[in-house]
Order: sequence, then structure tokens, then C-alpha cells
Amino acid sequence: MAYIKGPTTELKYSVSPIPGNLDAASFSVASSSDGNVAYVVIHKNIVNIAFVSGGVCTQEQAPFDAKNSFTTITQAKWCFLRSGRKVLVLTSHSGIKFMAWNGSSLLHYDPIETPADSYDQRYAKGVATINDTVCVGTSDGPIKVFNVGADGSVVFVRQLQGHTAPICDVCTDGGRRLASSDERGTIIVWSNPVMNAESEMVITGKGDTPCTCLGFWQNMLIGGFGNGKICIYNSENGRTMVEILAHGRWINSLDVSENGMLLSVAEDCVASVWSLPRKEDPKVHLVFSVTMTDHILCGGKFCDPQAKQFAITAYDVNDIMSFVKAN
Amino acid sequence: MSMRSLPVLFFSLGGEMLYILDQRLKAQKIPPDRALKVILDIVGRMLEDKCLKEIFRAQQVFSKRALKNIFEQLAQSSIMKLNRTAMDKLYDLMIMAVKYQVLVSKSGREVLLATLNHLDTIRGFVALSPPHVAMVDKACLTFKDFFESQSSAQLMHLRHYLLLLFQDTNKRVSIFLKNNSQLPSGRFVLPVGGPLPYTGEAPGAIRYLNRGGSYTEESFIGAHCYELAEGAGSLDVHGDRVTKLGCNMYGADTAESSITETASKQMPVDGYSFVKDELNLLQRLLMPRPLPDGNTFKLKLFLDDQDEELERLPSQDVLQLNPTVRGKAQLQMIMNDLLSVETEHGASMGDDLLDLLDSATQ
Repeated sequence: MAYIKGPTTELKYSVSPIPGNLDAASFSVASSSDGNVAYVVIHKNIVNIAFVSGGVCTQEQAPFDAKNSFTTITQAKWCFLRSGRKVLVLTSHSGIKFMAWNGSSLLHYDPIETPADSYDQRYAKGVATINDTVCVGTSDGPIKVFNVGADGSVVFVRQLQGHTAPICDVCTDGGRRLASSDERGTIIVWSNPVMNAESEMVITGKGDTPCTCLGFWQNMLIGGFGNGKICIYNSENGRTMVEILAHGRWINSLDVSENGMLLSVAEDCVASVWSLPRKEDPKVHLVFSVTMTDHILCGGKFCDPQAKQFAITAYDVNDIMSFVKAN
Repeated sequence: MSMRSLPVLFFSLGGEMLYILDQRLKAQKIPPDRALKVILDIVGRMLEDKCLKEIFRAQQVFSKRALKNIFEQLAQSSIMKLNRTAMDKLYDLMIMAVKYQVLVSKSGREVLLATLNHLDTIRGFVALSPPHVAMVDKACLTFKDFFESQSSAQLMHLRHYLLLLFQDTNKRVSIFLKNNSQLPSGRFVLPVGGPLPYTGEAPGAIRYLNRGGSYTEESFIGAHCYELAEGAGSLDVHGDRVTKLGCNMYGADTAESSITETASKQMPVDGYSFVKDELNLLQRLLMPRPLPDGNTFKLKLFLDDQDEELERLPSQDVLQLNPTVRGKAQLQMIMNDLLSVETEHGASMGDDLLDLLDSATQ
């Protein structure tokens, strides 16, 4: 299986050097039977939102705060809730914003303040959805849990305490479980954050290697690290099963598709697609790798559940580049 | 965002400014005592205690413009006088040089080491003045204390924030074009493979771990060839920085660097372009002090420097150059682009720039 170069989407503003700087989602459009993909990419304090339908691209831009434009957005992610509602969550150094899915209106703002003269500016980063709940990581370590109603109302529910270092990423297994990682490389699995604040399992990090991105697939938890390694853990007992020496630089993003393909992008300019272990084949395979010459890759996402297409972003570039599975 | 970016920016940009000024002072055969005074005056202002204290205070740097004001004041604090156009080009060169160093750094720690390379070279410039050497040493020590407890993640945040500040700045610099570090589009060439970050392992293996701690390993063909890092690099006042980033690339025989615009990207008009009161105190500390009349001289940084203030030329569209073309052919195309500026505006800068670019290719 291999991929070939696919369509490029040109953005109005260039891509900022933020790990995980790309989200992609399929939105159904009644008038078109073609694949519809929407992308959201951060440019400093603004998000580029691009909708591609039937080969035609339309774009919008939304600032985090039109009145105060000095913040940096740390993540932009769509959350698909069980109620059918879709929201766009933006995290930043100023706070967390829940917005309409196209960025057109604000539903809720949860501010973050940093004490004056502090060297460590506080921020939020890491967004994941469980049912009608959105979990957001913070630089202090706690994970904030919000309930989003079908009417768009947002209510803070609780904090998950366990991390003592800034959160890098959070993800869900598609059911009730949440996993979170931090800058010391510690990974925590939470059994049911919607109902309680208890952690189920802790994989303690070695200290100075952050786990920059996470993914779940079946009974596996996958972590990408700042030293270029990808580790695959048993998600029930935390045992490290596989260690992949995947990249020569900081890994900025991982994404896992529903059929068990793993996309990794890193500062070594390489995007790689891996096949995860499964019952019929317990090995990891590198199925595709591409070097985007002179491009530090910031974000990578599969555009569909079967990994037929993936998209990547690179620092200081106005394009979202994509690759499609070759026949 | 990073609240610790100013020391890296101040010392790195200041270092680049001093490299260029030093090279031009020597190339134009300014008498050594006057040339040394220029350097000592600037270094003295940069590293005086009040400035150091302000530089290491927790504060955000939002824009390149506020930084530019600081370096304009620094440059004016000596007996040397620069005209507006020269100062603008000087600043652009400084920014592009530091952007390259940050971009190519394999880790946040390497950004710090590159900054220390700047301070080490500045120490060499002021070696004849023990008080100034002491100031450089103090700056190095303060820098080390400020950063040594930062984690790799915090340093990577710093690196990413610096890249964010330099985002969308892609001016062509002749010295980078000449040594194939930059493409005609303005994009920097990123080395692939080569030394790993300290403690990094080369990609190419998949390890299946057994319960006892051992593992079986299979290999895959990695995208590039890597080698182990030589070492972590020292943050001490004196030490082996390991990296060459941040060292002086303007040797005595280096031709003057030219800098040209590339096609401008769309950028939103937002608070990043200017923040009221940004770096206010530092700017006040570096305000030029009055100098005795008759003690100043003008320094030509670029061959096209005019005595009068030049009206800014509008940006030109970039020719769609073949990005694979390197070397003299590529420079010829850039010269043609610049010549079109001359034809349109009647300025007499083309010939001097041709000489400059010709010498850069020899």
C-alpha cells in the first residue's frame, strides 16, 4: 500500500509552529456526494478554517479574541458530541473557547490567568470528546471536564488531578476512557472522567522526554515523544509492548484511523504511516514515508476513517498538503 | 508564548549586528581605534547592569518592530552613524540570520548554545578591554542561570515561539543563497539527517519488548542517515558549545551581504505587529547619549547606501524561479530581478549590487 500526492489546499495565512497544528473532519453536505473535508489550522492568534467540497475550497478566519489579539492559540479541534452537536474548541494562553463549529459564534469562554511577573505562562492544550463531554488539558497539570448541552450550553464539571507537569495531549478510546500525557512523559488513563475523577492507570515518564501526542486503538495506547520515538502500550496494564525509533527529531503529531493505521509527523520533515499490530499480524509495519523537503511538519491528520487520505501542515507554509492512497 | 525569549533574541540579534558592523568596519579600513570604540560602545550599552536586569525580567516579546527600535538605539549609541535604509537592511539581515539558526537547531538547547556562541564571539571582539570582557562573562553566567533548569519541553516552547515571531519573514540573503542555505523563494534549506539531538537515537528500528526487559528488534529503512550527537554542549561561561550555529559567518574576506524582498505573504493586521509600551523600559535604557560634536563618522553598510534618506521602494513580485537551480545561474536571475527595479525607478543601485553579487559568487 502506498500513497501518492493529493490535492493541496492553500490557506490565507501561514501555518504557525505549534505541535498538532491541524484538525480535519468530514462534514456531510446534502448537495454533494463527493468527500467533504474541513480543516482548521492555527496562524498565531487566528484560525484558518477551510472547507473542501467537490474540489472547491471556501475559507473563513476566526480570531481567538478580536479585541485582544496578543494571545497564541495552542490547539484548534472539532468535537463531535453524542447529541449531534459539533463545536470548535480553541485553547490558548488566555483561556478555552467553545465556538460554533465554523467559528462564527462563541458558546463559552473559560479564561486562564497568569500571575504578573511569572516566567511560566499558563495555557490550555489537549482536547478530547467523550459522549457530550469535552476534556481539556492545562499547563498546571489538571484536566478540565466540561459538559456541552444539545443547546450549546457549556458547564464546567470537574478537574482530573494527577499530572504535575504541563499537559501535552489528551485522547479517548471512543468509549468512556480518556488518556492524557505530559511534558515529563507521564501518561495517565482515566476510566470514566464523565462520572468520576479517578485515574485507572499511570505510566510514569522518565523525566525529561515529553509525550507530545497520544492515540488509542483497540487495546493499545500509542504515544509519540520529543525524542522521535513512538511507544505502543497495553492500554489495560500499561506495559510497553513496542518501541519504534521512528523519527530523528521531535514528533509533533500522531493520528490513528479506525482501521488501525498510524500517522506520525515530526520536525525531521518526515511524515510516516504505520500499520499497527492486530490479531492477524502482530507486527508494526512502516507502510509509507515521505520527506517534505525543507518543511518542518507541525500537524498531520487522516481525512477519513479508513486512512484513504491524510493531510499535513508545515511551519511558515500556506498550504495544507495531502496524500491519497494509491490504487 | 514564552516569557524567556528576550535574552535569546537580544544576544543573538545583537551578536549578528556586531558581526556585520565589525566586518564592515574592517572592510572599509576604519582606523582600528575608532572601530574598536564603536564595538566597545555598543557592547558596553548592551551589557550594562541595568540592561541585563531588564532583559532577564519575565516579559513577552510580541513583535519584531519593538526589537528593531532597541537595535536602532543601540546602533546609534556609538560614534558610528547609519542612515535609515542601512539600518532597515541591517535589521533584516540580523533577523534572517537568527531565524536560520533557530530553524536549523535540532532542539531548544541548541538555540541556547547558538546564543552563547554569539556571546563568545563578542568576547573576542572586546578582548582588549578587560571591563568589557567581564561584562560578557557576567551576561553568560546570568544566561546560564536563567536557562539551565529549563526542561527540554520548555526549551522547545521557546524555540517554537521564536519561530512564530519570525513567521512570514523570508527575505533573500546573498550569503545564504551563495552557500545553498536558502532557496531563491526565500525558504531556508533544512539539512536532513546528520547529527541527532543529544541522547537521540537514529530512526530505523522497531523493538518488541519482552516481559523480562529484553527485546527483539527489526529494522526498517529510515528516511535519512543520522549520526550520534558529539555532546550536549556546555552552557558554562566558557565551554564547548558543540554547535557552529551562531558563530560569525562574516569573515574578513566575505563580500557584503545583500538582502532582497520576496513576494509578500498575506498577514493579518493584528496585535503582533505593534504593542503599545512593548519593551518600553529597555528602549528607554538604550536611548542614545549625546556625543561630542565632530566625533562621529558615517558607515556604509551596503554598497547602495545613499547619503540622503531613500524613499522606500515597493516590494517587487518574485520571478518564479526553478527551485532546483543553484549557484551562479540562480544569482543571475535574482540580479535580473533587481535590475528591473533599477529600470523602473531610475535609481543607480543596480551596478553596485551587480558588483556585490558578482563578488559573492567568486
